[in-house]
Formats: sequence, structure tokens, C-alpha cells
Amino acid sequence: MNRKEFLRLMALGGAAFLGGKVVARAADGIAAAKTGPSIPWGRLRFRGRDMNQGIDADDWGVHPNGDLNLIQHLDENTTVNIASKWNVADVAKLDELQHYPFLFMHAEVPPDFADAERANLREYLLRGGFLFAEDCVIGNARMGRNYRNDFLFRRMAEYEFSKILPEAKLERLPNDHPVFHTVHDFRNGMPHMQGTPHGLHGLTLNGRVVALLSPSDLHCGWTNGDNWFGPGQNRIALQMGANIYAYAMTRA
Amino acid sequence: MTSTVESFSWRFGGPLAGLPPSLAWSILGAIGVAGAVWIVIGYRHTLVSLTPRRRLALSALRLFVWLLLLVALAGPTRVRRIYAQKETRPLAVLIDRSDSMTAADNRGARRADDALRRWRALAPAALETFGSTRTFAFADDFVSISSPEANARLKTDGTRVFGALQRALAEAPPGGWGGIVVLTDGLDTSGEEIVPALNDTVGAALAAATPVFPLPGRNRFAGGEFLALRDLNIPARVPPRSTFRLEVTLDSFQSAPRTLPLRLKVGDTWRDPENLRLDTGRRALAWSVELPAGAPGIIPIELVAGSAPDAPRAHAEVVVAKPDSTRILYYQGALDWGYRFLADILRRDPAFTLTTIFNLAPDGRRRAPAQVETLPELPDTAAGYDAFDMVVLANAAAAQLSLAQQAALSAWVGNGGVLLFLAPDNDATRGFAGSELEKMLPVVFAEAAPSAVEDPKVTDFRERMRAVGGSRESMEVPFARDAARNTRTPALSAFAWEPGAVDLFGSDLAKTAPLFANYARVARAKPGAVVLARHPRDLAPASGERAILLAFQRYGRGQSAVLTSDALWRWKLNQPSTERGVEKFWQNLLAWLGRERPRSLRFDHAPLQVQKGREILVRIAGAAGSVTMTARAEIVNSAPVATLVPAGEEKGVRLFRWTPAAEGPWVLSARVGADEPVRHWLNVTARAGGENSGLPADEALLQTLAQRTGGALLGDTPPPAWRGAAGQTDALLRETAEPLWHQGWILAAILSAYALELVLRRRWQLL
Repeated sequence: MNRKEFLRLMALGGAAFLGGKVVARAADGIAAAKTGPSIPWGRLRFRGRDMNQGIDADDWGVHPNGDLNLIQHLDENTTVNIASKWNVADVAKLDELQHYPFLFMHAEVPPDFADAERANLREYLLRGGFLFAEDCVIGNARMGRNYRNDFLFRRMAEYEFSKILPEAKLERLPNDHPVFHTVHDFRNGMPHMQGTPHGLHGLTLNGRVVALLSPSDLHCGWTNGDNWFGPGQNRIALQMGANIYAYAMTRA
Repeated sequence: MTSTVESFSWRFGGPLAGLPPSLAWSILGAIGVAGAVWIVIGYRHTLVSLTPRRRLALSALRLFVWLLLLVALAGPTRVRRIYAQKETRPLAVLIDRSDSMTAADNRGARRADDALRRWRALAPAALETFGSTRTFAFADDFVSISSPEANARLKTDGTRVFGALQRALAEAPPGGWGGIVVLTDGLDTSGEEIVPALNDTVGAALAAATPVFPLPGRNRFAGGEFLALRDLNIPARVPPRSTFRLEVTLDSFQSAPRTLPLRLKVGDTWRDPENLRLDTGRRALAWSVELPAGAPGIIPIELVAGSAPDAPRAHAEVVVAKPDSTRILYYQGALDWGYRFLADILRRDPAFTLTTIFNLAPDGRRRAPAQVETLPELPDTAAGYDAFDMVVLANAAAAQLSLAQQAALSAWVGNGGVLLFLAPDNDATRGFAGSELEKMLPVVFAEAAPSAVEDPKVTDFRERMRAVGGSRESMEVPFARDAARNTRTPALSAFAWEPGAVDLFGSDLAKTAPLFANYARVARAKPGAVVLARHPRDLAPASGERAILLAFQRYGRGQSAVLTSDALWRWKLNQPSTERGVEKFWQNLLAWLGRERPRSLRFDHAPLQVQKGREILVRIAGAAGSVTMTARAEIVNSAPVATLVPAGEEKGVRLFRWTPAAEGPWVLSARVGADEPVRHWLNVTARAGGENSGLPADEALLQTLAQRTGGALLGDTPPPAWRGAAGQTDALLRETAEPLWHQGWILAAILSAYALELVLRRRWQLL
């Protein structure tokens, strides 16, 4: 062993003595907890309807980076073994939906579902899939209205869910609902990033929440929260996202 | 008797009190040296010049005073201790020289040799504990001998174990024996009733405060050929149209090998006999068979070992009835979507109740969803699992389960619990290789290389988006379109059922083939495991067979199963919502696994054969109320029914005492309230007589004798009571301490020396 090797060995030994054990234990904990096949993340692809421009075929994929940030947060802060990949499931194809236990639906403009697409969503939810639908609140110019819009939320709440699952019940979730306390505690309920604060709504079928609907634009919090909404909002949005994902996994 | 010992010690006072002597002496020495130096220097620099002789005289006086003060500080003390001398009573060693102890078995081993060999190892500890021993030999009579190996004239065709013990107690030296070691097989062939003789002996030993330490002599056998049914194990209650397992253990001693036809009658049908091979010598043979449960009702079972009219036979019955709900403890090591789907199925089925443990975060954070029964952590004692019928370990990592938790699970399964292990993935299952958990599972885990899931395109896009501020439509839309074009979904494969699965589950279940995308590779199934499903194509590298997907095995009285896939959420999402194949699969699999879990009233380790006139303890488990126990001789219809006497409870098992009054087949019935009784059949035989009866050492009797007299059944090491006694010294009764520096002459000497110093200083004009 030469002098360089000796010094390197001593440095490594010192590091292990001073803090290495703690680091190693934390790393072991994460590695140990990541078990099972990796779970795919799915974004729902659908047509939107813009008041000015008509059908918008690309709005469904707004800010995909936000999804990736949440995936990274889930990977680092929960035991979910989630694949770091952004997949797309077309609402028009049931055989695409069925590969994703959790579908994220997000857009600036409201959806324009065909009956077959509604039937696909209905079948997906009846099989046990979970849908989280949320407004992307930037529709001021496009929808001819004010900045704080809630177009996707209102379309889903007032029309689409009653068409997709008429036997299910949509209602605002109280602050003590488990979704606000599954991983992180949100005693005041849904953290609000922007838009109209209607709160988080749950679609319940046979005693089980099968979909969540939010106007609060958590997703923009995932995307670039601190820059858009002030310090700490990114972390809060990601934590609430983790709550929603873990709640869907642990509630039958 | 007492003894007095005087000694001298230093007992430091003031700030030195309580310090270790070496430290106190060091401090005192340092102070002493510093003071001496200061005295010498002080008298070298006086205002008035002194002659060397005067300086020496004054320095000596001051140093004398200083030294005495330091000695007083050290606290010289005379200590007087008065001890009560340890009372040692001699040990009596009784050696059974009857024929059953000195007859050799088929290997030439004798019980007397076996007992003596172990006694020689224990003798030094006994001598150290008791001081002296006296040795006796007994068989039908009782004599004193000089050493364990010494010859003795004895009548050896009979054994009076209790008579010898009572004789030794009667002939004890003044003060009695410190203990009695008896080397015997416990077979008293004197014809005395065992229970009164035992009670008399225990009473005499307790009156003399003399514990008895039996040392059983063992060998394989020393009598003639025999064959007996030792144990018949079947579940008391099973679900309809399931299967259950019958296990029988036979005890045999043969001088030459032979074949034994084992005949089994299930219901009204005799099955084809199965031939068992009985080898030479003493053997314990186990045989088992899976039997169909059929429709609800009672299945009588009769087992006959041999074809002779007097062949050993046993009766039993199994109640086929709808089971109580299966209580499942579901441990989720890492979050997985399978739970949501499986729990939804179980939630709708009243046949199951679910309690969960979730690991939500890598730091071990647990938070339970509301309205779901939860536990904070997996129990680390086997009793902690008794509230459940089945444990499901899903996506667990080896690091999450402590050794105590794994050992507790293993013990619980060995005692009748059911474990379903959902093998998470190749890397995680590798962590269980060689673990306590793997020992009870039906498969051996394989080693595998870790696999990466990170997509470089995704990483690149995320990094670029971060660089530009989190959103830019010109980059996002192409990314989303590209992702939509390139999204690939895994192909699902179907379970390939093994033929055995159809036998066990029934053809209904096997018609449905679960679909899966991922599975963990295992090296192979263990011998005795039953593989129920395999991969349709993939081969296991180690075995060359198709990879295992579902396997189970018996582990002790319980079962363990491994599903190498996840909880099959992809299958559920793939099926039309009206299809119920997934539900049927899980309900059937879990009900089948939990079918034998004993919950209702049942006999626990009840013997198949007992001796007339000899008291036994009958154990009843699963009682949820007051139990009534009766015994009836079966061959006499008009025989009076005896009600058994409760004898307490032990770890949830009710105990009843029973002394069979007559030979022949008997049936014991246990019932709670007006419920249907649970029954157990046994044979009552005459007490074996003669030295060559062929019975093994009666260790249960010897154990009772030891426990009731405060002794212990001796093994290869001295009992704790001996070890404690051997290490004891005489007990200290009183200790008195007399500080020597309190003596007046010491004070006088100090004051005198100081006064003389002052006088001289005055005389030499230093004052």
C-alpha cells in the first residue's frame, strides 16, 4: 500500500466513522423500502375544447415536467417503487387505460369527451382504476374569462362525472378526510395554489373513492411552485400530491 | 454457627470518600509530597538563619505532624466481620439397577450406562454444591453402596422407585439430605398405584425440605416388539369442499424389518391400504394424506395399523362446516397497487377481516388509512399473531423485519399459522436468502442483478425544463407527443397451473388463469413443497424447470405459501368489470390457505393411548366460554359418564384432570354451552407390568416429581439451583468498623509534636 492509498483509506475510514454510518443507514432504508415491480405513471390524453379556438388536441399534456417532479418526490419520500417515466394513456383506448392504476388528468381547458370515451373511463373506474383530475389555471385569454378560472373542475363536476358514473356521488372532502393525512398532515385541507378554491372533491362509488377532482392547480406547484406561488409552495404541492397517490393506493 | 474475621482497611473520608482507593491514594500522595516540599523549602528560607541541625529538627517535627494528619485523612479502620457458615447437607444418589435399566437395546445401549455417563459429568458440580454424597442402589430392594460403579446384591426383577425414595428420605442423616439424585427410567413395577405413591413421596420430600433431581436413563428400547399409534393430527373443523390433511405418527420397535398395512376409513368407505415399511429397531414413522372435505356434516375417520384383530386403531372425526371469517394481517413493506384491489375484494366478503400495517415512507413512517384496522408494527412474539389466522407479507424487504419478528412468525406458523409471502422482486427476495423467514417458505430464493428503471430521455427532459424555469410550451408539446407515440405497455402472461392445483383448489379455480407482468425469480422449490403454478414459458436457470409463480408447503402444523408476483392488480384492471375471476381467485386461495387454521373448540395434543389408573391432563383449546368435559367408556353403552375436573388454564388452553377407571376404548367430549360437542377417542390399556414391558423412560412422571419437590429433571448441565449454590460463600451476618484514627494517642502525638515545634521555634527566635 503506497502513501496515497493509505491516506485515501484513512479518509474513507474517518468519513465512515463520522457520518458514514448515518448516510449508509439512510441509504439502506430507502433501498430496503423500494421493493416490488416498478409502477408506471400515466397521464390521460383527451381532447379539450377552447372557447376561442375550438378543439385543442395538445392541452392534455401541459407541463409534463410537473408529473416528473412528483414522480421524483414519490420515489424519494415514499416507499412507492415508481418508474421515472412519463406514459400516456389515451382515453379513447381502454386497452391503454388498463395499464395504469392511477391516471392523472390535467389541462387548461375543459374536456370534450365522446360517449365512447366516457364509457372507457367508466369501465376503467369500475375495474378499480383511480383518476385524479385537476385544473391548470391559465385559461384567462383562451376562455374569454378572468385569470382565476375553474373550467375543467366545473365541467367534470357538473357534467362529466354524472355522465360517466351517475351512480357515484361527488362531494367536497372535509379537512379530516384521510387523503389530507395519509403521509403528511394537512390540517386545513387542500393546499391551494391558484384558481377558485372549491376544495378537493371525491367521487365515491360503493363506499370507495374512485376519483379526486381539484381546482387548486397542485400540478403547477409541482412544476415550478416556488417561482409561481412563493417560497415553500413547491414542497407543499408535492407533499399533497404524495398524499393523494398514497391514499389511492391504501384505500380499498 | 458463626465465624469472626478481623481485617484492616483504609476508609477515606471527606472529599476522598467514595473514590477508588488507587485514585484516593494518588491524590493523598500528591498532597503529601507537595506539603513535604513546601515544609522543607519553608524551613530553608527562614527570617533567622538556622543551623542545619535545627532546620532538620524543625522540618522533621513538621513532617511528622503532616504525615499523621494525612494518615488520619486516609482513615485507617479495623473491620470485624461475623459470618454465618454455609450449611451443607449431603446429597443422596439413588441408582436404579433394575432389569429395565440394565437391559441392552438393539444397539447394545443400556439406560443405566446412559444415566451414569451423564451423572459423572454432573458429579463435580454436585460435590461443590452439597459438599458430600452418599450412594444407594435400588431395584426391588434398597442398599447402600460405596460408589456408583460398585456392585450390589439386589433383586432386579422389579422396581420400587417411590419406595426407594421414601426409604432414602427415612434414612437421611441428621438435618436431612440436601437433595436426592435418582438415576432411573421412572418405571415403577411394584404394582403400587402411581398417584398415591407419588403424592406420598412428594409429601415426605417436602417435609424434609429435600428436592428430588431425577436423571432419566434412556435408550431405544429394552423390551419386546411393539407397535403403537402415538399421534393422530387432523383439523377439528374444515370448510366444505376443501381438503384437509391427516397426519399420523407411529411408534415401533422391531427385531426384523417388516411391512405394515395401514388402513384408513373415511366416512363409510375403506380406502386402499397403504403399506409402510417398519425397519429394525425403535422408530417413529410419520404418514400423512390429503382428504377431501365434501359437503357440510361430520366425517368419521378410523385408522388401523395392521391387519391383526388387535392391531392399534384410532378414531377421530372432522366437522365440515362454513368457516368463521378468516382474520388476515396484511403487512405492506412498500406501497403497491395490489393492496387497493385485493382489499376491495376482501372488504366486500364477510368471510375475511383485514388488519393492515403500511410502510409509507423510507424512514419507516406509518400512517393508517382511517376506518381500517391497523397495527403499529409486526409483533415480535408468536402470541402477538394469535389474533389472526393468516399473515400476508407483501413487498417486504428483509431489512424491515427484525430477527425477533421473523422468529416469532416462524414459531407461529409452526404452531398452526398461515403465511402468504408476496415475493416483491428479484433484488428484495435475494435479501431473504438464508433468513429465518426463508426457512419456512416453500422456495429457495435466487440471486439476481439489480435492474434500473430510470429513463434517460425523461431525465434529460426534466433537467432541461428545470433549467428554463419549469415550463415552456415549445418543448413540452413535442415531449408529450413523443411520449404518446413511444408509450409501451408490458404484455401480460397467464399462470400455467400444475396438475396438483386442480386437485387442491378444484377445477373451478384452475379454469381461471391469473395474468401478471412481473415476477420474482426463485431458485427452486424445497423438497416437500407443492408447486401450484408456473410461468408459461420462462425457465428457472438453476432447475431448468419453468419458473415458479405459486407454491406452498406444510411447516410444522401450519402452512406457508409464496406468490412470486405482486398482488395481481394488472390482472384486475385487465378484466371487464363484470368478470369475477380475480375475486374468485383471491377468495378461494385465501380461504384454502386458511382452511385448517384451528379456531373452534378442539383437543390439543390429546393422547391416543393412556394407562388405566394413571391420571392425565386433557388440554382443550379454542374455548370461548365455559367448557364441559366428559369421558365415557365407548364399548359399554350404559357406562356412566364421568365429568372431568377442571385443572386451570395454561396460555389459553383449558386443562382437565382425568384418571381412566377401566380398560378399553373411551371417548372424551368437550362442549361449550349447547354447541355440538368435540370428541376425541383413545384407548385405555392396563398398566404395563414387568421390567421388560418395553416402555420408554417415563420422563413426564419424573418431571412431575422434580417440579413438585422443588428439584429439576437433570440433563447434561447442572441445574441453576446447583450453580447458584456452588458460587455462594458464607453469609455475612454483621460487620463492625472501628476507625483507628479516633485513638487518643494519635491526637496527643500530633499535638505534642506541634507543641514541641512551637517551643523550639520560639527558642530559636522564629516566633
